Amino acid sequence: MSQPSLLVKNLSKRFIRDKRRPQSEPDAVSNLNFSILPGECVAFLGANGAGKSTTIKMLCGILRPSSGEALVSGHPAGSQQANKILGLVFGTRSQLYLHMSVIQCFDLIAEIYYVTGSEKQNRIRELAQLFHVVDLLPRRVRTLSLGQRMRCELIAALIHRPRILLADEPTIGLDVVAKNQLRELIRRWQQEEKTTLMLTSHDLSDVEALCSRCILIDKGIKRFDGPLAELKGDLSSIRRIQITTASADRGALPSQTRLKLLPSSESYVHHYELSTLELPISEGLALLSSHYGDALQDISISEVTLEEVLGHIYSEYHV
Amino acid sequence: MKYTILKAGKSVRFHLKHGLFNFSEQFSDLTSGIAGFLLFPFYIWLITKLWEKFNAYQGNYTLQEILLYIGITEILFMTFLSPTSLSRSSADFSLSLARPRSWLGMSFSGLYGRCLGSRITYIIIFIIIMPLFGIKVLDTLNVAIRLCYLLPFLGIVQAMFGLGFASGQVLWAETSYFVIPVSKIFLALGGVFGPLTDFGESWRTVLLKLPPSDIFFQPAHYCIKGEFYHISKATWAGRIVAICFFLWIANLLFYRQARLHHQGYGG
Repeated sequence: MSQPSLLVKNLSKRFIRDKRRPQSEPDAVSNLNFSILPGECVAFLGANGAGKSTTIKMLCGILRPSSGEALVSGHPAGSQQANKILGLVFGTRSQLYLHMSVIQCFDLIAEIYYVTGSEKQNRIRELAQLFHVVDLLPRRVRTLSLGQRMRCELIAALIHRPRILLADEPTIGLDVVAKNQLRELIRRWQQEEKTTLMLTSHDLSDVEALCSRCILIDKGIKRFDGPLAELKGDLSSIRRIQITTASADRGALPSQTRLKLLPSSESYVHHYELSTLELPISEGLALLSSHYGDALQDISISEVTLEEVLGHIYSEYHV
Repeated sequence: MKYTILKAGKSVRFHLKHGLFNFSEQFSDLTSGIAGFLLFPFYIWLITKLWEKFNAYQGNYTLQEILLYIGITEILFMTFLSPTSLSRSSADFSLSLARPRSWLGMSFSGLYGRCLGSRITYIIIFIIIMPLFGIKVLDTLNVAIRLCYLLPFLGIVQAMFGLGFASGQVLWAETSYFVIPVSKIFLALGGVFGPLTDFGESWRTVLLKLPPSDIFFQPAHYCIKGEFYHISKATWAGRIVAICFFLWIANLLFYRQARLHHQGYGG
């Protein structure tokens, strides 16, 4: 079995604000254990203050653990060897220099990671093409839009061919188009270089687009570690059906045991919910079809979103 | 052994490059420093007028020399402990802990490059404006060239001071309110308002022994007169080395504390 890219053993962090009473402070991260294999894409989820960023910062050496251990490809987190193989993207923090040109920033950042000479030039060219920023290279960072800057931030994090990329809310503040572009670029790059990705984001569409596994933490404690589909649990069998009728006069099918009518604000649109474990979707559709007949104008089926699942979980934990 | 030398060589090459990067960053946003550049000639004129008023031509410098002296000390003072440079260094602190290069080394080369960059900008302005005050172009160039000899050494002191403040900024979250008092102390004790030679005894003897005189008065005196005041070049260099050594030790302690304290910040 290959060595894990990230191995976290009993990792804890307590921020001591009152030195006279260190025990009175709660753990920001408490006895966290997980491992991530090379090439895996893992989402690290949790509400605000759950301990996601603290964990990421311990993994990259910005914070030291109060106890426990974090290993990056076998090297202690924060060591020079570990830092050399980590790439970092912080959505809320730039590593570029505002007044300098993009190419100058890439050049310097590459050298910080000991990438020099022709290797550096080739790598910058290759990434600039992959991320469509060739035209931006001579421009000063301060003149870039947020979307363009984030693409450049990503390149800055990847110049040294990191084996692991830690991305802390990389799409924060981006519009839908820029977000999709960035996700697509990360996905393409990840497939090409087979790099390990650990992503934290409050935008769950990022998570669904990029990750197959997720770790959920709450108040510093791991609550879930497994495939995204498993996180949804029983909720994954829920289907919502939206019926649009030709006429507002057509009444909805009253709630039944296995097919619930949900409240709707529009008289010609009706919403239903069923669990496929109790009622197969084909049977549900047949019931609705026979009820509406010719009045049925449109039909759409959706699953429960990850946002809803997490909202449900967070409320369970009283976050 | 060979590998260590090679590694050290590469490291020096990187820090030179980083210094140069920061040096050129000074020239990439000149508009932000425009107020300082515009006020520079005004300060020279104002402080010279004050010196004339209070000193009444009793000092050791001619009026032309005083203009040049004030010009030099203003260059050194206006680029001393620049808040922008300090903020940049302390802002990079967190990220540098996640990078394979040391923050101390990178901040030092960065501050050094920035200091040189801004001082060279001021020297260029100095060469342009001094003839407008009636100073001969040749005299101005002579003084500027002498200052350029000293800049590499003075840059080390400046970078060391900056490093201390940048670590302090991480340690105490905010040190900007310290920067002004410390700068003012150096301003007053270093002879930025007028040459220390024109101060009365016993102040003169005391002030000449303090570090601010080695950073402001002695370099400016050397640029004007071609020699340091009552000390040899070697003595001045020795004093600068001693200041740097002291600052280096202080910086190591500050950095260590800053790193420990940094753990106190939230995720």
